[in-house]
This record gives sequence, structure tokens and C-alpha cells, in this order.
Amino acid sequence: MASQEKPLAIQIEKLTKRYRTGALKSNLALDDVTLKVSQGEVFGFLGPNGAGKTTLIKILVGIMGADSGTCRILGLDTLGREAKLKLGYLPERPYFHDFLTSAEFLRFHGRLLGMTEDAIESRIPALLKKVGMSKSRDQKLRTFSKGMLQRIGFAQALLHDPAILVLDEPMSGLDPVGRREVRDIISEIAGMGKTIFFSTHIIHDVEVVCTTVGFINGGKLKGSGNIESLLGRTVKSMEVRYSLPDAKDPGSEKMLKTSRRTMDGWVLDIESDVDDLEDQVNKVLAHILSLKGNVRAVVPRKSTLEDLFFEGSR
Amino acid sequence: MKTDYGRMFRQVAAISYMTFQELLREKILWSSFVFGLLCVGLAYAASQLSYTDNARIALDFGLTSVSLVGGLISIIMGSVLIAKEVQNRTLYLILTKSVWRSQFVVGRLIGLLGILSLNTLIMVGISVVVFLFTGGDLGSLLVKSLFLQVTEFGVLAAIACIFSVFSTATLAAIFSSGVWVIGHAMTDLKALSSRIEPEFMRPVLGLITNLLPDLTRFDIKAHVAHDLPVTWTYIAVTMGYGFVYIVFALAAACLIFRKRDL
Repeated sequence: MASQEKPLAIQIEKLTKRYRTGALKSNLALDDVTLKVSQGEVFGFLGPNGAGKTTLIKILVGIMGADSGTCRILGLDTLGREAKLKLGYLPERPYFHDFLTSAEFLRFHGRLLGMTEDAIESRIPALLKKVGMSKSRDQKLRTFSKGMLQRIGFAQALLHDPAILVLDEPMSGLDPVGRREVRDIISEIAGMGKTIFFSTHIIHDVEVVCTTVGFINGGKLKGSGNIESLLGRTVKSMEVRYSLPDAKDPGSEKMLKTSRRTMDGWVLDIESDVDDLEDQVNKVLAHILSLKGNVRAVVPRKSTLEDLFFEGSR
Repeated sequence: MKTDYGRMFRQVAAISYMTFQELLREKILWSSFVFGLLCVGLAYAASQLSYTDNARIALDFGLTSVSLVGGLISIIMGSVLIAKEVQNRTLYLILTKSVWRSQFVVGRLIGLLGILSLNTLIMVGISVVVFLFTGGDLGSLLVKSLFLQVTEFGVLAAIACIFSVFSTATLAAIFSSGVWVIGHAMTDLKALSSRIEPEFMRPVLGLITNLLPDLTRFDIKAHVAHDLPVTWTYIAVTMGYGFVYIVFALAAACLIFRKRDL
């Protein structure tokens, strides 16, 4: 759960959304989703394609409303004007008016935000410098690479210095260099104390950048919270690497059936509840020693975000 | 929270200007423009084939070209006006900027009306040059015709805009073309609506003639070509009819668009 000490940046309560797919048919995109993100957090919103991430983000940034439930940012309804002025948004793909130059694009969005012409003109050079696009000020967006478009998208999202940034799959479709650049920008923005909510289906991005995480699948939130605490409370497993002098020994055969063969011996994975795990490992070690075998290593395996992702995806 | 009308107006102005910039780059605008120029050239050629009243024939041809090209541009551009923004998802970023959907629709339509006015002004200007070149005398009828023509294009664009908010650009263009054709056959349809058989078709036809715009009201090309009088009162009333139609069409488009899932 979100940290209780910090005030909430995003507060979603029992959010439900259906899409009509026919006269009498509808598809449940979000099912009673409740989620909280504290101010200053970098929140990774994980889920497979079609899980409901983009639908939730569309409601969060005020593109559309929900059928039921509430969605608030800094205590304000996301469909209201005040709330929209507090957030910056970068869409999944750079859906920009590509006939505009970088400066024209930022000027247009500055006007939509209600900024004065002076404020817009003073922000443009500073933002272009921040995202490393100063040289492309008068270049048309249609000539940009995907990475450049993402960077100009970041500049647009930061134009009015919002408290919350919502990024929908900001690294999808980028090459490793582009991903690294976008990650660096996110880290820099997080360092400024802003709340960042970003969706992705790429687990590594979350591991590198985020402090808290939420999992969604089939429109339902499968879990959320601090990454360390989520990993800490999950079932762990142990890997016992061993060798036996006589594989044909009746006592050995039973054990080898549940192990897997490696280059230099055998590996047995022991999965159990945290409380019971130690006893299980001790029994296995005692059995190996009773068979005059060698225990080469006992490796604790912590759950990873990937494990949680796949558990949530089931 | 107090409504900031100044900011709302600036937002609509920003969307209109961006739309104007966008449409100015559209190939269809320039293709139609070239087509219009060819028609005006043809008008000049046709006027040379006549023994009498060369200037009137040139002007009649020219104004018909303006009407045809402007109508096509209104329908094609009006049909993609909203549909394209939804399809390309460029609308998303705008709606996250405290802009109401209705502001977006109004801004887009104003931008399109700007393009249509510019296009009509240039085309009529060229027709006038040909008219003067063939020995015609310039009167106020041409200005009156220009006002009505731009209003008609506005009505057509607003109707295309309604279709554009809930269907694809192609379907919107087909529906709007139907309205264009029916609108120009309104005099005949109105006469038919009291005589058509079977009788149950009469209220249906009556509904159509009352609901769809009467575009024949905007057509004073024959008056211009034959120098027949048209009063300023008629022009003002007809433009008022057009503006009311545009406002209702815009309101309907905004209402439908507000409810749409994006």
C-alpha cells in the first residue's frame, strides 16, 4: 500500500469501465480498481497487453470518464480543469501533429494550457535543452526518429511544470540507446520530486526506475505496493546443488526423479512457505549426506518482479 | 470555480489556427484549387465561343466552379475534421490540456471555415478577373453571392462535422454528399412532399425537407449571371438561416462527441 506519511498524489477508488462492443454486448475493461500513489513516488503500472492499463490512464488524464468509481489527483476530480493543469501526459505512441516544428508544437500546447506567450517563449529553450533537442527547435516533427519524438513529448508534458507525470509505455518501440535516454529523463524528473505514474509491460524498466508498482490483468488490479515489500512477502524457494556417488542406489533414485541434471551434478528446487522452507531444506541436506553425497551449494531464490508479473497474469 | 472565458477563447483560437495550418497543407485543397482554376479557364474558353454576352457566360461558369470546388472541399475536409484526429489519436494530448471536447469541435470547424473562406475568396477573385477581362461590369451582386456561398460551405462543413464525430471519414463524406444533393433539390422535394404517392410517404418527405438544409436559398448564381436584383434583406435573412443551421449542427456534433468513448 502507499506510504501513509506522504500525501496522496493519485487516488483511484472502485473504478469500473465498460466499452460497448455491440448493441447488447460490452467488454469490461476495468473492474473495481482501487489504487493509491503517494506524492514523489515513481509508480510502475505493469500488465500484459490488453490488461486495462491504457483505459485506466485515459481516465486518469481526463480523456474519458469511468462508468462508476472515482479518480482523483491531488484531491481533484480528473475530469475537471484544475486537475488537468496539475498533470503532464505522454501518450503510448507519439500521436503528435507532425506538420509542426518542435517550437510550434510546444507553443500550441502552451496556449492550450492557458500559459502566456512570454511564459511559453521562456520555457521552450529551457525544455528543449533539458531533453537534448535544442538543435531541433525549427525541425518538423515528421522528420524525427521515435526517440526524438519521445523526448519532445517529454518537453510537452513538462511545459507547465506539472506535479504529476503520466507516461503511457514511454519506452516501447525504442532501441536500447533510446530506452536509456528516456530512463535517464525519468530519473532526472523523479529527482525533482515529481510523482511519476508510468505503464509498461517491460519488467526491467520498472526494476530500474520505480519505487512502487501495481499489477493489472483482465481489468482487475492484482496487487500494488512498494517493490521491496512485495518481493519480501512472497514465497521464496531454495536451490540445492549436489552430487551423489551412486545414482542407482534405491534411496537416490527417488530424490533424483525430482531433481534436474546439470554438468556437474544435480539441482533440486525446494518451494515451500517461508516458515516451512528451512525445515524442508534441512531434511533434504540430511538425506543427501546420509547417501554420502556432496552438497555443492544452497542458493536462496528470491521472487522477482517477473514472478509477480506472471502470477498476476494468470 | 469561476469560468475563465478568456482562456477558453484562447484555447479555441489555438485549435483553429493549428487546424488552419494543417488544412493549408492538405493535398486535396490544392488539387481542388487546380481543378477550380481549370474550370475558370474553361469558363473563359466557353465565353469565347458565344457571340453575345461573353462576360456573363464566363461569370456563370466561374461561380459554378467555385460552388462545386468549395462544396467538395467542405465535405471532404469536414468529414475528416474530427474523425482523423480520433483515428490518429492526436486528440488525446489536446483533451488532457483542460480543453472541453466542444471547444475542440468548435475550434476545428472555425479553422476549416477559415480555409473555405480563403479558398472561396481566391476562386471568386479569379472568376472576377476573367469576368472583367471579358468585358463585364462589377456590381454588388458578386459580393452578395460570395457571402451566401461561404455560408453554404459553412453549413455543409458543419453537417460533415456531425457525421465525422460518430463515424469514419469515408462514411461521413458519403452521408454529407447525400445531404448536399438533397439540399440542392429542396425546391422539387418540397413540391413533391405534398403530392407524393403513396400518401404515407408525405410526412417522411416533409420531415426530410424540414430537417435538412435548403441549399437552394444560397444559390443566386443565375441572378448574378443575368444581373437580376437580390435585396440585402434576402442576403441577411439567408445568412441568418445558415448561421442558425451551423449553430444547431455544431451543438449536435458537440453533444454526440461528448458522449463518445475515445
